[in-house]
Amino acid sequence: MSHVNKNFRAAEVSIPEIYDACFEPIGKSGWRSNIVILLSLCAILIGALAFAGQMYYGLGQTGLHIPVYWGGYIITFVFWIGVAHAGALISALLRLTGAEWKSAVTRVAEVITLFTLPAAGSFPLIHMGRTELFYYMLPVPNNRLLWPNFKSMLMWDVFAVSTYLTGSVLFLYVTLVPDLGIARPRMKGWYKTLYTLLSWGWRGTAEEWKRVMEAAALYSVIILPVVISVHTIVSWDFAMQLVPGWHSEVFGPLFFVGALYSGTAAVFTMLGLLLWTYPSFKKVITPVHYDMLGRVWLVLGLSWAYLFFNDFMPKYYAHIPDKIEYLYYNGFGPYAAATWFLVIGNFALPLFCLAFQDFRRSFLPMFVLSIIVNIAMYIERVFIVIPGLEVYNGLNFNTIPYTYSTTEIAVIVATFGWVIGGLTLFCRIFPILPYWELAETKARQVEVDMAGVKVNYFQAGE
Amino acid sequence: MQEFHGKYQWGMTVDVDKCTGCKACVIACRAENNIAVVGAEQAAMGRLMDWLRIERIHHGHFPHVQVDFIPMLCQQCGAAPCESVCPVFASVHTHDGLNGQIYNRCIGTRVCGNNCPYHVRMFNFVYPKWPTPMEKLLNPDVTQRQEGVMEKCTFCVQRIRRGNVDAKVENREILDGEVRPACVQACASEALVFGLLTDPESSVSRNLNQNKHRSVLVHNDHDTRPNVIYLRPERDPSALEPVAPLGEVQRRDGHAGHDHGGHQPTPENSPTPAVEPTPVETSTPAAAAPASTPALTATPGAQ
Amino acid sequence: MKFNRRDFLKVGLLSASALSFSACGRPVEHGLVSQYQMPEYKLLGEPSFWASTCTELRSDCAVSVKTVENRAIHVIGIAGHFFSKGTATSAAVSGLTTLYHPARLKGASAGDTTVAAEVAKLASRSKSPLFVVDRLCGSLGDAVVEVAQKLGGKIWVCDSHHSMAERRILKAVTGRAELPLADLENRDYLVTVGSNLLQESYAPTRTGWAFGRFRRTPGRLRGKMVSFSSRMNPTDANSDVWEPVISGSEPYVLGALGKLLSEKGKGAFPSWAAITPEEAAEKCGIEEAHRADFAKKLNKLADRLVEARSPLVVGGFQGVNGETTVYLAHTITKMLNGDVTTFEPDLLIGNKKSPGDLFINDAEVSGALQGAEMVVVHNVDLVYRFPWLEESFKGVKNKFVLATMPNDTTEVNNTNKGMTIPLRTWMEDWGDLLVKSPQGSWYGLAQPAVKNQIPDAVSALGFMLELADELKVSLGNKKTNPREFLQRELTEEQWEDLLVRGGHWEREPDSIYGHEAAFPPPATENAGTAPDGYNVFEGVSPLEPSKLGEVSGEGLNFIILPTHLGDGHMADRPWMQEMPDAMTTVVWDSWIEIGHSVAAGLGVKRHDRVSVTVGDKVIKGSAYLSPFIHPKSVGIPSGRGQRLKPHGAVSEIGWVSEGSNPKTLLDGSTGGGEYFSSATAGATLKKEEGSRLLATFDERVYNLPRHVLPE
Repeated sequence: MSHVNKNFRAAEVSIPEIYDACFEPIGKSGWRSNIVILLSLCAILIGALAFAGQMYYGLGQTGLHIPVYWGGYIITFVFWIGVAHAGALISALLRLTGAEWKSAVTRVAEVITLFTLPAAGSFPLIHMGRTELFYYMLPVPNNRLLWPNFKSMLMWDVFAVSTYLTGSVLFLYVTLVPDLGIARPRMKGWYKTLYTLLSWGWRGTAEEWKRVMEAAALYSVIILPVVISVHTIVSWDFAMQLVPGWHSEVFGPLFFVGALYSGTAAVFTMLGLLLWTYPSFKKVITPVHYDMLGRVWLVLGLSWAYLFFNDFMPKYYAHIPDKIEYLYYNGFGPYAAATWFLVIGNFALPLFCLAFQDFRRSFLPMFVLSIIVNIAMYIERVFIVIPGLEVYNGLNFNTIPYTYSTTEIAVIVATFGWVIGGLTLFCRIFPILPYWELAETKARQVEVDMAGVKVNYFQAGE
Repeated sequence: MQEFHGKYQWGMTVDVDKCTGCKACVIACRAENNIAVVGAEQAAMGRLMDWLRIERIHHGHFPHVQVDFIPMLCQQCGAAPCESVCPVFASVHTHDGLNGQIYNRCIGTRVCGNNCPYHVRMFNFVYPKWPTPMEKLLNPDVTQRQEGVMEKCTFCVQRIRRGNVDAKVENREILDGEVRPACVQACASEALVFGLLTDPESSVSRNLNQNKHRSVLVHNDHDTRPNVIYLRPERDPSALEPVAPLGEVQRRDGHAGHDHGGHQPTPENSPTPAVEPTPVETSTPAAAAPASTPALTATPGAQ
Repeated sequence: MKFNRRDFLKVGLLSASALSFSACGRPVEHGLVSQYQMPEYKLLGEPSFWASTCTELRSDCAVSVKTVENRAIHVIGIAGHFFSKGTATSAAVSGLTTLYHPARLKGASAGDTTVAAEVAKLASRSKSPLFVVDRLCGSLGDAVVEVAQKLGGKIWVCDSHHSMAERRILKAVTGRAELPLADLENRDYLVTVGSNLLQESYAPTRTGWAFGRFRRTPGRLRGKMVSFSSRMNPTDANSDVWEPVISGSEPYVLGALGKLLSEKGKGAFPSWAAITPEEAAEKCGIEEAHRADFAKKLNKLADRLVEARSPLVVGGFQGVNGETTVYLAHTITKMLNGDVTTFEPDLLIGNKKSPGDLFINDAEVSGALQGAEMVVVHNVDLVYRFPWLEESFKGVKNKFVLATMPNDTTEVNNTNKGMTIPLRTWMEDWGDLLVKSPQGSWYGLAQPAVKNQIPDAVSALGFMLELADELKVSLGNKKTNPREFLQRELTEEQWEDLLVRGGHWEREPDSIYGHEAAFPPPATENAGTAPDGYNVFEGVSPLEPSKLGEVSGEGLNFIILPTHLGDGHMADRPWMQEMPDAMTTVVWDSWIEIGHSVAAGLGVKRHDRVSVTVGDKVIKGSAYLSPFIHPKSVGIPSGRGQRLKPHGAVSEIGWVSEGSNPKTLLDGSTGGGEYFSSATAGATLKKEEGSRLLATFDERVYNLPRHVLPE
C-alpha cells in the first residue's frame, strides 16, 4: 500500500493475551514496587507525625502568616482535585463520546481518582485551625439550632468533593466487580477471599452484565456535571474573594479545563510507570492509545491556554493598578522563575511537542512531558494562590514572602506517598487494566477488506 | 454616606491630622483585650496579633518625605466581606452594627482573613503564652482565645454590652461618651471619636458633620461600607513634591485649598501657611508665586 | 459544719446588702474614672479603680489603675487632670507587665536589720556619698535632698528629660529655674528643631491632647508646624514641613531665625548666635544647589512667625549642641511672645535651703563617682545609659542599687560586691507631687493599687524615710510609714478625697477643703531670683560661641534615634518590644538606619549586615534603609541592647532578637556643654557579610505608589 492509515491499525493481540496481561501482575511483588510502598509508608508516617505536631502546636508550624493565610495545603488541595479529574474525563467523557480506545486507560484513571480525591479531601481538614471541630461544617441538627453557612463557598466544597468521591468510588467498584468475578477462580489464598467478598457473587449472567453496562452509561452522564461543578466550586474558593489575582470571572472554566489537563498528565505518568513495571502491558497499551489520549491532551492544553490567557490579558490591557502590581510581581518579581517555568512547561513545550504524532506515540518522551506538566501544574497552583495574597495589600503590613515550612512539606509529601503507594498497592491486588472492557472491545473488532485495503472497525456495543 | 440597617450603629471617626503615632491606643487595646505577645521570631514571620495597628504611610523620597500615621482597625463593615464566606457563621453582624467574631464557633479556615481588604483579622498561629505571673493582668471580661481561631477588633464589645446592661437597668438609653473602647479612651490627642452614628447628636456624628469635606472611607472600592470614617489631614503643600496628592485638598478647579469649606472664617491676620509652595527645583522665585492659594492673598511682605 | 436555712438566709441577705451597697457606691458622673470603694463592698468581678501617679516617663501623671480581685488589669488616665487629660501613655499601661514580670528582683538580704538601716550605717561612715536618681519631686525628692545634705553628699538627677539642664537654661532666659510647658492648645504656629516633643515631653498625654487642640479646634484655624532635624522622628512626622539638616547644626537654624526675627523688629538676639540664612544653609549641610532655597525658606518662616498670633519654638536635646539648641529656642519664643510658659514640680515640704553644690551635672559625674565612697542608685540603669561610667561605678566601695527589674546595673552591681535592693513599682507604692504653674497648681497623690507582689521590695519613699530616720534627719515628723507620712496633716475626709481623685487639682474655694495651707500658692514674685533650693542656678553665663561645636563633614554623624523605649528601662516589657517603632515599624530588634544614597553607594539592601565604627568601638546590625534620615547620618535606636538577656520567662515568649546599645559608641563627651551628647561625629559605616531578617511591617512586596486614603 502506498498509504497506510496508521490510526486505524488495531491492536494485534488476542483475548487470551489480554487475559494474561490483565491478571498476571496480581499477587506478584517486585523489588521496585516493594521499595515504593515502603517509602510511601515512611512518608505517610512522617507526615502523620508532622500533622500531630501541628495539631499540638497550632498552625504556627506552617509558613503561613498575615496576610498569606492560605498556603501549601490549599495549593496541594487544588492540585490533587485537579489530578482527580482524570477519572471523570476518561471514564465519563470518553465513554459518552464512544471512543473505543478508552478501555485500556479507564481504570487507570479511575484509580488515580480513587486515591487522589481523599488526599485532596484531607487538606481542608488539615489546614483548619481547629480540625477537631470539622463537624461544625456538616449540616447535622443540634441542640443550638445552628446550621452552617450555605452561602459560603467552603461549604459548597464540602458537598461537591464528597459527592464526587462517592460517585467515583461507587463507579470504580461497580466496573471492577466483573473483573473480580472473572479472576476469582485463579486467585489463591487471601486474594481469593478478598475477591470472593468483593465480587458479590458475580456469575456473569446477561442480567448482571446489563446492569453493569447501564450503570456505566448512567454514571457517565451523571458524573459529568458533578465533575464540572467540583472544580468550578474549588475555583470559587478563590474567585469569590476580593483578593486581586483571585477575583477573576474566568476561574470556573479555567480550573475545570486545567484540571482535566493535569489529570491527563497524571494518567500519562501512571501509564508510563505501568509500562515500565509490567512490560506485558505493552500489548494492550499501544502507541495508538498514546496517540489518541495525546490528542485529547493537546485539545485540553489548547483550551486551557486560551482560558489562561483570557485570565491575565484583560488585566494587563486594562492596566488596573491592583492587577498590574500583581502581574509584575509574578512576571518579574520573586516568582519570575516559577512563572516562566509555568509558561514553558504548561504551554510552550507541551503544545509544541504534542502537535507531532511521532512524539505522541513515543512512550518515554510522553512520560517525561507528563512529569514536566505535572510539576508545572503544581507551580501554576502556587502561582494562583500565593502572589495574590502577598501583593494584595493596599496597606503596609506585609513582611517576608511565604515559604513552605518543614511541617507543610512533610504533610504534602505524605499525600504524595499515599497516592503513589496506594496506586502501587492497588496494581498488586486488583487488575489495573479492565479485562472485561478490553475483551469486549476486542470481541467487537472486525477486520474487513475494502477494495484491497484492510480496515478494522468496531461493531457497536451495547 | 451611610445607610443604617438597624436602630443602632456604632461607629468611629479617626482624625489622621491629629494622630501623632504615639501608639497608646495599641497598648491599651492589648491590655483590654488580652492580646498575646508572639515574640521576636513569630513577629519576624509576620504574625503580630495587634487588633489595632498604626500604619506608617510615607510618600516621597528624601528630603521631600511626608508621613501619615493611620490607625487601622476592624472597620465593622456594613457589607462585610468576611461575614459571607465563613462556613460556620463565626463572623456575624450584630443588631447594633458590629461585626462579631464568635471564638468558640470558629474552626480556623481563615477564609475571612483572606477576604478582609484591611488585613485586620488576626489568626492565632500559636498558643498564647502568659508566663506566670503575667496571667494576672488578663482582663476577665474578655475571652482568651486558643490557637486556631481568628480574632479581631470588636469595638470593645464587652464595654458596649456593659453599657447596654447599665442603661437597661436604669431604664434609659446609652449616653454619648458612656461607652468608649480602650483605644478611644487612651488617645491623648482625641483623634479617635466613638459613638452611635445613628444618633445625630452624638459626638461622633457631630465630628463627622463638621469634617465632611475631609472624611473618607478606606478601600471602599470594594463597597464594604465601613463604619470607621477617616478624616484626611490637610497638609500645607510647600517644599513637598507635588506628586503626592495625599493631604492636599484638591478642589475641582485645580487649586489647592487650606481650611476651606466655609466652616471656619479666616480672620484678617490669620497665619499663612508655613512656607509658600516653592518646588525646590525652580530657580525663579517669581514663578513660584502661589497662584494656587487664593485665600491667602493678604500676606504682608510675603515674597 | 452544718449550713442550714438560717445560714443561707444570712448569707443571702448579706450578699443582697453588699449588692445594694455597691450599687449605691457607683458614681453618677460618667466621666469621672477614679472610684474608691472599700473592697468589702465590691462584688467579685467588679473592677475597682485606684487613683495613682505614674512614674514611667518620670513626669508623674495622674492615672487610675483598674483592678479586679486585687489584680491590676488596666491603666487609664484621670479625666480632668492637668497632665493626663483622661488618658495614659503606652509606657503607663505596659507597667502592668513589669508589675507581674516573672523575673522581677526578688530579695536583698540584710539579715535581721532592714536594708535601710544597713545603708544608713554605711552612709554615716562614708565620705561624699553620691545619689543617682531619676526624678526629684515630691516627698521623695525632699527626702533625698535632706539625706544628701546631712551626709554632705551630691545628687545627680539624670532623668531622660534633662530637667536640670532645662531649668538652668530657663533660668538664664526667663529668670525662673522651671520646666518648659508646651501649651500647644494656645498656639497656632509651632517650630521644632531637633526635638521629639510629642514622645518625650513632660507628660506626653498632655502634649498629645494639646497637639490635638492645636491641629483641630472647631472655630479655630488649623495650627501649622515646621520641623528641622537630621532624622525625622515621630514628632517631625506630624509637621507640615520637615527640613532635614545635618546633625548638630540645629543651633544654626535657630541662629539664623533669631537674627531674621530681630531684624524684623522682634527684639534683641544674642550676637554670638546670630548668623545669616546663607551661612546657616551652609552649616546645615544643605547641598550647594539648594542653599538659596533654604535661606529663602528661613526668611519665609521668620515672616510667618512674625505674623502668627502665638508661635512656639521648641528645641531638643538630641545630638550634640542640644543645650545651645534649647537655649536659642527658648530665647526666640521669648522674643516672639514676651515669655516662655513654664511650670514647676516643686518639693513639697521641709527643705527650703540647699547648698549650691548639692546637684552635679553630667560633666561632673565621672569625677564624683571616682571620688565617692558610696553611691545609691535609685531606679536608674546607670551602666546601660552611660556605659563610660561603668569603670568608675565599679570602683566605688559601697554600692546600693534600687531597681525593680534586673538590668545591666544590677548585674554589674552584683558581680562587684554591691547590694541590690528590689524596689516596688509605682502601682504598689505611695508618693506625691506638687506642681505649680500659671495654669493652676495641683497636688498629686499616688497610692498602691495592688498589694506588694514581691515581699522584699522596698517602697521608694519608705526607704528614704527610714534612711532619714536612721540618720536622724528631720522631715517634718517622725513617721516612717509612707502612708502616714503623706497623711500627716490632713483630716480623714481630705485624705479620702485625695485618694478618690488622685490628688487635688481644681481651684476650689478654701472653705470646702480647708487644707489649702498645706499647699502653698504659686510664687509670682520670684521672677528674678531662683526659687529656694536652686541657688545652683545663679550666676549662669550665656553659652560661648565656641561651644556651638564643629560638625564633621568627614565620615558620618552617628545619632541615637529616639524610640518609645526611651532610656531603655522598659526594654524588658514584651508589650513595648512588640510595639512597632513609629517610623520604621521594627519590633524586637535594633537596626542601623542609613539613607538610601549611602546604601546605594555601599551596595546595601534592607536586612544586610552592616557595622558602625566610632573610634575603636563597633556595633553590628541589620540595615534599614530609610527616607527619613540625613544621608550624612547613621542612626541606631535607643532603648535596646541591654547586656542582660533574656529575662527568664520572657525568653519563653521569645526574645531571640538582636539589640544594640547605641550609647556604647559614645564616650561621655558633652559636646561643649555640661550634658552628655547623644551623637558623635566620625562614624564609619561598613558592609558586612550576610543578612539577618529584621522584623518590620512595611515590607512593601512590590513598590508601586499607593494611597491609602482616597481622594
